Amino acid sequence: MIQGRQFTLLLFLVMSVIMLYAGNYVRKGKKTIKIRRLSAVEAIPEAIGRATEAGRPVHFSPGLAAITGLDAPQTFAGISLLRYIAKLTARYDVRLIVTIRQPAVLPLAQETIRQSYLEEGKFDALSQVDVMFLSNQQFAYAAAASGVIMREKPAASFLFGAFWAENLMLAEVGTQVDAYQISGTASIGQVPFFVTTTDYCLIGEELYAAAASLTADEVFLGAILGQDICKGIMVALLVVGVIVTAVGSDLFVRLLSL
Amino acid sequence: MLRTATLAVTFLAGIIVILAFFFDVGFLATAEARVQDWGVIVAAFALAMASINLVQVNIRRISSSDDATEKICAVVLLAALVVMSIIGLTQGPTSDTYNVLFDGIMAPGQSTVWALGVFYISSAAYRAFRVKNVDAGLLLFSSAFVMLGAVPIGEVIWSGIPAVSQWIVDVPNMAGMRGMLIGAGIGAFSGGLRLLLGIDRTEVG
Amino acid sequence: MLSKLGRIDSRVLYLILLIAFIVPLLCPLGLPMIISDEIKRTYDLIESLPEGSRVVVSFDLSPGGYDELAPACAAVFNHMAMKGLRLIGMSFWDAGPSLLDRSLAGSLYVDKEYGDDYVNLGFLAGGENAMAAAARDIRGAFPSDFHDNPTANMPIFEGVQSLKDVEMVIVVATGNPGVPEWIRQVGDPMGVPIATIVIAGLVADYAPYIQSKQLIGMIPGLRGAAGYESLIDMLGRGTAGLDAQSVAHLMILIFVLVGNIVYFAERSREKEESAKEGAA
Repeated sequence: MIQGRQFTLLLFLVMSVIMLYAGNYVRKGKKTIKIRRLSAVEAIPEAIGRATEAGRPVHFSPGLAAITGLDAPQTFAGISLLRYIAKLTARYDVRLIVTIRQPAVLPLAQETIRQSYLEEGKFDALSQVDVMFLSNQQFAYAAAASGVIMREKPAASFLFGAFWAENLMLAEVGTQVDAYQISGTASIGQVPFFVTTTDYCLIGEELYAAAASLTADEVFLGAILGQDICKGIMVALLVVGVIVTAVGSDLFVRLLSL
Repeated sequence: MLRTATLAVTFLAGIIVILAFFFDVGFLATAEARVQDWGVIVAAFALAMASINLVQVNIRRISSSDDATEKICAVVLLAALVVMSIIGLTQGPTSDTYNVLFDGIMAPGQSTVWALGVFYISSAAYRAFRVKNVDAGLLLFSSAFVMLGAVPIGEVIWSGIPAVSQWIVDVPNMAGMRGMLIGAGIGAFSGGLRLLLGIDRTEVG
Repeated sequence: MLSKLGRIDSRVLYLILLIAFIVPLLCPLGLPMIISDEIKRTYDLIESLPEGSRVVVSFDLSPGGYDELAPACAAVFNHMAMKGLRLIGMSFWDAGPSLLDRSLAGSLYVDKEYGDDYVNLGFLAGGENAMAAAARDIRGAFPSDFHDNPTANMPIFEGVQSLKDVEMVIVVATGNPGVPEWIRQVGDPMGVPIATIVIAGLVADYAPYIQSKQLIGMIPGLRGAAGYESLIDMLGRGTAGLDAQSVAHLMILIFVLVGNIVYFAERSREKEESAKEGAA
């Protein structure tokens, strides 16, 4: 066992057991989970409805992160939302444009859209979908995506995933073409820009919860329950740690360093 | 079958990296290194595939677009892709030609787009930062102090601005950031666990 | 007039901001410098290292962010060169090595010996995985450097197997992979002190790491560059640009203020009009 990681291992095991148990608990119907209203998620069908009426396309970006690393869950959450949005665009015959920055996300997005269109029985309509890899350079992607938005003038623009400094640019360009914009990110520093420039914004964990609430899958919902229990444990650890450290004991610090 | 194999590989790769993080066992470290090497190789192949997509999209633009500007931009993009690839492959990324193109076109181009951000911030600030309620007022108040505290002019306006700005960053901002970091971290952990165990099958489509 | 102000074309705002940038660059205001504790701690750490110490500099940035960070890099590299520290450069962003070469060429390292006093190892694909591989075995991860020289017998790597063997890491970052990944792979497990040169937009994101002492120091963008330049007594582009940044910050706040004045004035006018209509 590597020195200094015992407590981390213990926490890892406890959190894993809690999440799996919570998922199982909900799946067996022992508890019904209701996720609070997420206005951003409820606005998605409205946005696509507007695009249908206006005869304009819909733009989607799954963020700038890859499928590895700490930001990967944001990308996967974005792809889960893409699945839902693709189903709606298939259903209402709206053109979908997806702009991609990370090469590894491209086949994931293509396959997700293909599955969604198949499930809606609209395989032929796939020709209307444009999934484009623009660039793996951050600002080259931002410039290219801005160009796509300015040229195509989407009626709705969805920005779900990990974003950095370019998010304001994408959102402002969307405003200039009068697009109805819905965003979501767990990139903390970028949340204020999305909140001020887009119509709706999913903040932090709401992005992960949104993906779960759309599937209404009990296991996903159970995972949300498990996350909330884990957060409770974290808060308890914080409170205990503050009290123990405040009285002058280093027991807690030594415990965390185990 | 393919789906099962994908899930199995995901689980195996993930569990090796997780175990190697906690246990210092010879074969685990080697296995982790191999998994990481394979990750690098897959990323390189993904880039090649994405480049093909880029070429396909732009050829389609050239052949079917009615907009002359769009066609010209697509031609320029494809030409740049070919030229940089040939120079990079034949002369290497440290050659003079590559450096001239990188330093003369690519780097300034990206810096320019980055710099445009401040203009977008100014129009967003004018249009959208409205004090519609108490929360928005608090946000504006704190952001004004932090912005002025970050530059010397703040201290010229009032000597207390840097101290207030530092307090806002060190106390309320820190508390909020830590809370969101912990929440996002747990969310990421949950997502990772679901992917590892095959509960969430986003990566297999 | 107020309604016209409320519908003002964005390009007018852009022009006003552009003028606000240009004037201080042409006529410097000479505003006083702020040197924060994080900048001072980075300086003190570099100052405390003995001559010959190896410092890893990781250039994890995009070309877009380079211009904001270049003055700080120049100041820090000059300080390191004056102290006789040996620089091991690497990058986990593909554009990093070319930008690192550019920074080294503009610093005092240009007069030093490549391969002994400094080296640019180049780019390693794979993000955090690649970082972990380099942390374990630098020469194994980088068998040749950015200029295709083999690293096996380079004098700079004598006695250096993993990143545990270096005295400090400086991460020049504009995003991910960047500071959090370095802390996870090197700072926490190996106990190597980490400082960062970072864009102003990421300061709030990394402030928790400063408080928890996982980051020893932070040099934020142009402001950090100006502060560091005054510490090493070599004024440069950081100092020159700070006046323009000051005026730009003030202009944006003025835009917010004017925007809110227009908003409240229009709201008040709408209330009056609806009250009159109600009365009628």
